[in-house]
Amino acid sequence: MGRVPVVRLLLGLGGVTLIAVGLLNSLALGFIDLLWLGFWLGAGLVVHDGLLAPGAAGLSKVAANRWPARRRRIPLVATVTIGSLTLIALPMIMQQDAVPGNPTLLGRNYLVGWAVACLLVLAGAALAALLARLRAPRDPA
Amino acid sequence: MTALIPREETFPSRGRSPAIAARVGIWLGIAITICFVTGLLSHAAQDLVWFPWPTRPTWGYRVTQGAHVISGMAAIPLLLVKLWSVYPRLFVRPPLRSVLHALERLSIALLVASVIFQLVIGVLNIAKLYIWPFDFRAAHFAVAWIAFGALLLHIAVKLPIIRTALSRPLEADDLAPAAAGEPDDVPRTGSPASDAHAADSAEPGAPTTQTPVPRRTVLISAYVASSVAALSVAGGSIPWLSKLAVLSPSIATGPQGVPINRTAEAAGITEVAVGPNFQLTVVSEATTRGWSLDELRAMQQRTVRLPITCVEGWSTNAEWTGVRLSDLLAEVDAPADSRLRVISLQTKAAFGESIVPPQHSADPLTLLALRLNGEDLVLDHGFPCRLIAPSRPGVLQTKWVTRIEVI
Repeated sequence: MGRVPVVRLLLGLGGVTLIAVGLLNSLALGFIDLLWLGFWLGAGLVVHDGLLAPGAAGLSKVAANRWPARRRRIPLVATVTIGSLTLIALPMIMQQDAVPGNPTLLGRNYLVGWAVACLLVLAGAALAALLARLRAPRDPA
Repeated sequence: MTALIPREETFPSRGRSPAIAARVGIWLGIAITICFVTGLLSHAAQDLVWFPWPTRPTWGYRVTQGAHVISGMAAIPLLLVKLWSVYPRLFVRPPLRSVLHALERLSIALLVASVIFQLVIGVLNIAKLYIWPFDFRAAHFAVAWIAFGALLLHIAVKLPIIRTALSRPLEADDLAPAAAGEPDDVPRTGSPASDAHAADSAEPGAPTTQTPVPRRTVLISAYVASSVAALSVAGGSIPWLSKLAVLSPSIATGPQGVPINRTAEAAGITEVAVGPNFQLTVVSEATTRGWSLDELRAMQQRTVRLPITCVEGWSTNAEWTGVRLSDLLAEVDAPADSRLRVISLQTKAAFGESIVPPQHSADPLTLLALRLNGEDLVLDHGFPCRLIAPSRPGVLQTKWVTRIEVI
């Protein structure tokens, strides 16, 4: 085992200390809530590793089998952007107008906002694709 | 059964490499650090009575809490791309090589789980979608320490790989594991071996489509998605971006030009409580005194321009008019820099009272406001009077104030 540089040692010790502080703080939640906290922590991992990541891998495999890399570049950027935006927007769309008697809170039309944002991303992607085509060297044939 | 579990080589992509993980990881690390630091500051401003939270700049809390929410949103796509780049490592064989390896994998699981948790419940909190039984603030605070600690630990473990990855061109082939600084600690995807596997796994007749997307494209995806996510909420805190804030929790305006986080009805405020018999009582060690609303109006009125900032990521500037808090304290022979308990008429929901630290009590901009943007406060904004102080979390700008105690 080689010598561990001081920076790494300090980072590691600092990290372990902060984790301990967090664990101590979590004790304030009480036993039942701690169990729920553990459930939520685990659920996030399971949903990502078991659902989101394989889904993304499957999607990229399908795309890779259908289109060459040069035609996947711009769609990749658009897909990652729209996918992220959708994940963030879902709770807002679900909760639109969820605060009775207070239209100033969660009172936006989040579905329309999300759709407009996605359309703008797609328009940007189309423009980028057009520019890329114009800049591409012409096929002499 | 084991045949169903993918192997590291099942994910043949040059993008899934330390070159991407290190570069996206830097921005993700910055975003998480901003979230952690601004979150601690918000905690200090709300819960640590001994913490000397400053009153200047008046927009201080607006900036720190805005940065908290914006960087949290920006972190979501960065996290997704970062996890995508290292996903094959989940299926490394053998899964556990030694106690040290087991501990390292445990720390990574803790890091990923805690960061996902923080971002998910943060977004759900903004959407007021409380689908968990535990207290949001307590859980968000505790797990923040775990997430940031696990991040530091992760950087400590991976520093040699990060350095190596950053020192090489983005599109360079990955090094063999032993050359990367630590034995067998680098994703093998993108290596010649896995490229060969990719060619093997390609469908017959479609080998040309298996060419890899440049890593630069993957990086651009992460940065564009992160910027768009940040922009979707940034307008909640940055007025000139408000038209782009399609996912901000509040609309840009409301009654008297200011959004409402908790209505009078939600706080259990009755018309009787704020009717003609309303009285504000101020209690000091020396004396106790009461004021009717008309008597408060008869005192010297001050007008200040201060932002009001919600912890969930919206803020707005407004013009407030009312009685300077230190003037009220002088009326009961209390020092201007007294620590105060401000009590609301509200009978429901949290934050029915707040503690005002000495620096805020003594500040000339701290008012017991009676008017907002040139009109008497409407009931939902805290009629007959409410607290407004510079650089203070919105939940502590107590509405429907009925009693102030020097403590």
